[in-house]
Amino acid sequence: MVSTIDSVVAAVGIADSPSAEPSIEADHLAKRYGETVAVADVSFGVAPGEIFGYLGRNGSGKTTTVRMLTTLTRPSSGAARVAGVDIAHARLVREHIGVTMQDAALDDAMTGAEHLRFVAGLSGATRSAARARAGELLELVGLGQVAGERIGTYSGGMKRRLDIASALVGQPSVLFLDEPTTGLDPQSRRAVWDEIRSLQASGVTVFLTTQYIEEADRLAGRIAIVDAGAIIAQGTPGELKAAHGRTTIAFEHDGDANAISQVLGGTDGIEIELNADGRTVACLDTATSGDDSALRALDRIRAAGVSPRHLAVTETNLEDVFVRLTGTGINTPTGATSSEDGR
Amino acid sequence: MSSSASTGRGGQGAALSLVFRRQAAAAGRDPGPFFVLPAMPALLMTVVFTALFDRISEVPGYDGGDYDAFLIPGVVVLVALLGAGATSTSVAADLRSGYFDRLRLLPPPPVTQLIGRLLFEAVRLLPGTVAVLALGFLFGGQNRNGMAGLAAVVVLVCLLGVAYSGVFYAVAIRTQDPQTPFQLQPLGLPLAFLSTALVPLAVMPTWAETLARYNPVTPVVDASRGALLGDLWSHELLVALAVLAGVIVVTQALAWRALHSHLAGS
Amino acid sequence: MPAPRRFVRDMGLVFTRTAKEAIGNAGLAFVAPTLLAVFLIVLFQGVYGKIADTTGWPADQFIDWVAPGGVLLSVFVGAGYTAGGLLRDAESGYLDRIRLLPANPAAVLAGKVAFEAARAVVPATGVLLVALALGADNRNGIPGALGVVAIAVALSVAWNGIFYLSALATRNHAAVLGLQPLFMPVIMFSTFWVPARFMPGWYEAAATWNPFTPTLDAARSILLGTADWGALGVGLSALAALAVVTYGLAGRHYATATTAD
Repeated sequence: MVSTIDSVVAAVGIADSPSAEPSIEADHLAKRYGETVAVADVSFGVAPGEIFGYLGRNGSGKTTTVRMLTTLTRPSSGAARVAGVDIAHARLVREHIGVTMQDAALDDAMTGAEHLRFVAGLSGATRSAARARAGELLELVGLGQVAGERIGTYSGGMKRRLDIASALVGQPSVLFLDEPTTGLDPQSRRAVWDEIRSLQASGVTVFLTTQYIEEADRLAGRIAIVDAGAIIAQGTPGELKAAHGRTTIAFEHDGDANAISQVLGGTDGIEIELNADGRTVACLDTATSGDDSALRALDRIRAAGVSPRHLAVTETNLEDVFVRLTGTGINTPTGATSSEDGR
Repeated sequence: MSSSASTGRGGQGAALSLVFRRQAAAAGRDPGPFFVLPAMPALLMTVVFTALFDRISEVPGYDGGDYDAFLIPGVVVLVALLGAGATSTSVAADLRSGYFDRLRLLPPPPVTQLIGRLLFEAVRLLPGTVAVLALGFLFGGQNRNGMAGLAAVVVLVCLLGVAYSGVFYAVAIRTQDPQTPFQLQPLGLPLAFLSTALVPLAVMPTWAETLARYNPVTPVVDASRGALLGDLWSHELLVALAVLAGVIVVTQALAWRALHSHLAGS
Repeated sequence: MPAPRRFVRDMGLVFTRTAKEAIGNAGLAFVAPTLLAVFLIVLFQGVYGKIADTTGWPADQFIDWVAPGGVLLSVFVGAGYTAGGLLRDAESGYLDRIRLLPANPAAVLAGKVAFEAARAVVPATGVLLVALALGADNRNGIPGALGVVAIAVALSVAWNGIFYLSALATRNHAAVLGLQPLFMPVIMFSTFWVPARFMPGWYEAAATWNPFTPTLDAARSILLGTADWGALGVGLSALAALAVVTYGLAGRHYATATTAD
């Protein structure tokens, strides 16, 4: 068991800092409900102070994973440690974590301050300590002005920030944020992002699930891409792009359309497509053909005496990686083919 | 000319029957509130009141004859009052979901939607009425007028159901709340109790007697009692039918007006 | 902080939160059960009140006999309020939030039940005052009145056990709401409206064996004269038994719900 965790940790590169024990280690976690597999078998490690992005579309098992790691749901098989504690010891784990739920469950009839005092009280704070902590946290998340207003009057973004504040009541070392910006307008989303960044700056480890590629790309140090309950790729955004991205070069030329495909065709990691508008597009797989593949491809074309009139190089982005790995865009429900594919 | 008018009527009838059948299918899927619930209070009252309050007939001034025989034709009328208006749920739901707007784009006038459901509202009370009568005869109910008497009672209950539903429709159209039948349920209690359904006017205190005298349910109950215990074709029956016709006109006017102003406002 | 003190404090926090929520929703929590109970008593008084004029009626007036039942009726018609709240908390994920805190989950449940008990005081007192205004007897003054309200509180704790059990076992609002009319047979087949000797034999047997009847008789004995301690003992035992069974089973479901699923 221990060796498996070690190998997982080594595989994700935490071994670089051997002194720090990982904040989260998941070892073949799985959750099945009868015939339905919610989480197939996931293993990963998250280093202290890291933001770990758990990226997948709806129904890919993100929330179930969070619920297992936060002791709300018991895994069908596998193990995990959070803040160094086995998740079987729910009470101990809960002392170290803070959680925000996907549908911010708040009591609309309470004010923001009342809510935080209530949570702090149930966390064991005395009345005066609870009051002080509530005030502090409200300032921290920028809700000091509306502390006395009913939660029912808050906007979606304010509710999310209050939710984050209540997750911070117990001064957790590991914070789980389950889709903290889903349904928010761009401005509120940015406010929540700033909040998450400043939490990381204060040393908290953040496990962030999201269905927004941009959010994972901007916030997370490392990302796991999940699909149908399994992790299909993980690494830093750069690593993911290097391993699964591709660079495309679109050539415009006056001469023989086949010349380029004759030069580059048949090479490992390069696919040639002929566009409807007469361009030749070379798709270079960064993983197999290397970082400098685009330059080398151009050298070979020059050497063969082919001179395209114009060319456009497109670097890979995380969206491409996601689409390539899962076969569909993030907001396309599995099983539905887009109209372009249908034609 | 005449042929187009007749197809118009035929179309109207077909539309009504479609609305009726859609409502009937919905009720068939969820028989509890439509068929079972209306009979439950009356069934419970039949068993309990004949046992507990039998001795009301010993009160000085009581003029209702045998109490069990007195109670049954009154209690059966309550089927129309306690558990009423179940079809108003679908009126509210259709308005809220926008389904009503879709129906409006079709040729039949919007009130077709109300009339078709009202017809079903009358029919759905039949099983409960029959159940209460059957149990009532086991618990001391009497009938001197055979099938004709029973038929008269059934018609009175169904018509009262239609008349009373208008109130539910008017509220459901204004609030668009599918919980309307639940919200208005307590209204049925004073209408039922402060009538002659349970005891004769003679044993009520003055305040209750006054209210019961002007309660439109009272003539319906009196006619129902007459149909089982007195002369079938009494003038009470005529009064009851006239009152019911009046109430139907008033409550439907309320409902139609609510619908009209809702459609005009949207 | 020692565990028992911690438990009581957490319970107090939940009690306060539930109370605030109920005060914000006073119509449903306090006014509706009071009015509904008064309404039913007044309607029956209007229809069957004169049955008190017949020979053998044990009190002066109809209201003397039904007033204690009316007080308890307010508990029945208002039942399920906090159990419904618990269910809403479970559905909204609010319970999950509390589960993640170091508070004892049993303290959360206990806080809600404690508020349910406190809530019963308001409608019970309200109905009693209306009944007294309508001329009902109260021969034991304020101590007697307090005694009857206390019985209503005990009934509230026990009867709501059924709603907590249903809420936690089914996790279904309709199932909890559907239990509301359960009180009707309970009060109908008891001495609520008329004394046992007014009933036919089979009915009297049902009323005598109805476990609610002793509680009702005890409350009535307090208002009409000397307290019937025997009936009070039997009634409270029946309520305690109901509470043990329902909260015992509800507690099991709750324990499952508050550990990982």
